[in-house]
Amino acid sequence: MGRILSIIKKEFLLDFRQIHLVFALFLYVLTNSYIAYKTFNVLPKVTWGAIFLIIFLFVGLNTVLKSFGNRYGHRQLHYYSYYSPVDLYLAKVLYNFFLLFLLGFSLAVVLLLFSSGGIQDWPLFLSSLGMGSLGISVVFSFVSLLSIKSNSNSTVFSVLALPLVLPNLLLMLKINAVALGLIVDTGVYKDIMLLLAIILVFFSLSILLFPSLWKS
Amino acid sequence: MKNNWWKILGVIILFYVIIVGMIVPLKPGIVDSSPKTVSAGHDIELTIETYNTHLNKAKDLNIFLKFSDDQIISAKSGDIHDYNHLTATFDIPIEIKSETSIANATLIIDNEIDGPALLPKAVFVKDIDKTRSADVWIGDIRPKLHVKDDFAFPYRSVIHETVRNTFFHVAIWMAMFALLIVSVINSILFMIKKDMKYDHISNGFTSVAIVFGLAGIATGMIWAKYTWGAYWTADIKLNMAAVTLLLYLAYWLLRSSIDDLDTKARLAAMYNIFAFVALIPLLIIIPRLTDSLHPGSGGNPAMGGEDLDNTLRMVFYPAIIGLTLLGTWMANLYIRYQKISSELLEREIDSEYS
Repeated sequence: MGRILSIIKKEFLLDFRQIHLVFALFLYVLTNSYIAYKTFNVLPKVTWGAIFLIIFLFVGLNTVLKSFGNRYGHRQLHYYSYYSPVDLYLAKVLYNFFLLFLLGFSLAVVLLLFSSGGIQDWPLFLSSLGMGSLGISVVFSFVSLLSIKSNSNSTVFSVLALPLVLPNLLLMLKINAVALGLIVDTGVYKDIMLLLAIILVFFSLSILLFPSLWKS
Repeated sequence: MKNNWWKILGVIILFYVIIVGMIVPLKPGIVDSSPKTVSAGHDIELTIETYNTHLNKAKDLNIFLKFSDDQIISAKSGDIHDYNHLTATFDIPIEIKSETSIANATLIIDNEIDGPALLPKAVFVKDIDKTRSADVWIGDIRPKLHVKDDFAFPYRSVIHETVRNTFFHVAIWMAMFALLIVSVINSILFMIKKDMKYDHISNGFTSVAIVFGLAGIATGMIWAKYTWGAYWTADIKLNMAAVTLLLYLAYWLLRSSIDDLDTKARLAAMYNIFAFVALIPLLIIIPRLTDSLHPGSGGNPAMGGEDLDNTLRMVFYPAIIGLTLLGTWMANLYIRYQKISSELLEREIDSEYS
């Protein structure tokens, strides 16, 4: 645990030494929300849910899918020689999760400013956002390493990653719809459990496969 | 010959599936009857259209309306137009046992040539007097029905003759799943043993599975055009199938984007395992949570016990086995082709350096 925390701390410090990169992400969120708002001019709840999920997905692609990317190249050797791959993967997933959750939350707040309706069930929305962030960061962190190891262009890996998170996104869409008050579903906890189960399966699979991918 | 018996078996099974699946007729059924509603205590003249029946040749023709097991009335008079059309007149009694003031009746047509055919909810009776009990019922009709043991596929409303697509569309998906299972097992073996042999096998099976997936979508789309009226609808299973294909097309893209053979094999194996795990919620769990337009649906995606009767099973299960064998054969050829081409590549490299 200590090792994981130290990696997270290091990532955090290194990212905030290049604070413009983090600002760029938040600016990305802001710009995208504004473009979405201007294309529709009004954002009823249905559109809000769809727009939120799409921008969230692209934020995920931008942040997480590049987490082993070129600008981190110089860190790889350091991690390679000091830490075990499982620790590294866990730290990456946790760090990406926090970053994505923050970005998703700010995206929701910005989009709500433009929207006419609000979120009716905040705890449910936040739990859906949290699990969505976790799922995306689990899958995309893994695919990100795949992309580094294969040295091919990033479009291929967006294509690889998107269908993999689709079950995740569909369940998120449904839970969000409940949180927004678009549909009434008393059995929404079943969807939450299913989402958790899917994330858990991907997570354990990544943990199993990551070491052999990392060491190669 | 000794090693190829399964190929012959597969081809024989597929011949059986195509011939029997296309030639065996449907059981008789009732397409429609009108009018749909009547007030209790009145006469109703039903205009009935049947399917696959021989009404004008039948000698012992009986027409019943069944409200419940002990409430059955027989037609007062009938008029046969041709082998598939007739009109029948019923005296609807004023007293029908029912929870509400509306009851519905199943129309049963029975003759000695075709056997019984029925249409559930053919007539809705309104304004029922619940206070009295009637004595116009004719009792148990089961001994009177002509039971036929012909080998025929069941008649289902809406689906009609397209029920035969079960042997192709559904069986292709099942075979695809079987091929993907073989593929993912070989990917896992590759991760453990690092032998290129398993990579070739895995790639071959996945490629054939993609072809099967495309065939499954194509057969489904043609079927959907005739039963649902559109090639593509927003049905959950259609979307999940599309995503499945996207996943495996991405696998193919990943393979073709990497030049180095070892890296390609390793990354492809990893992605294949990942994709297969993503497939389980996509194809098995999520469709069960949502309603679908597919036959046998409403929480049950594949085959409900009521929808697949024994005559269908006698063709459907062989179809799965036959298509899986055919897929294995195709994969086998592709694997051999790959082996030869990689061998040739190695020789080429050797001759360049020597």
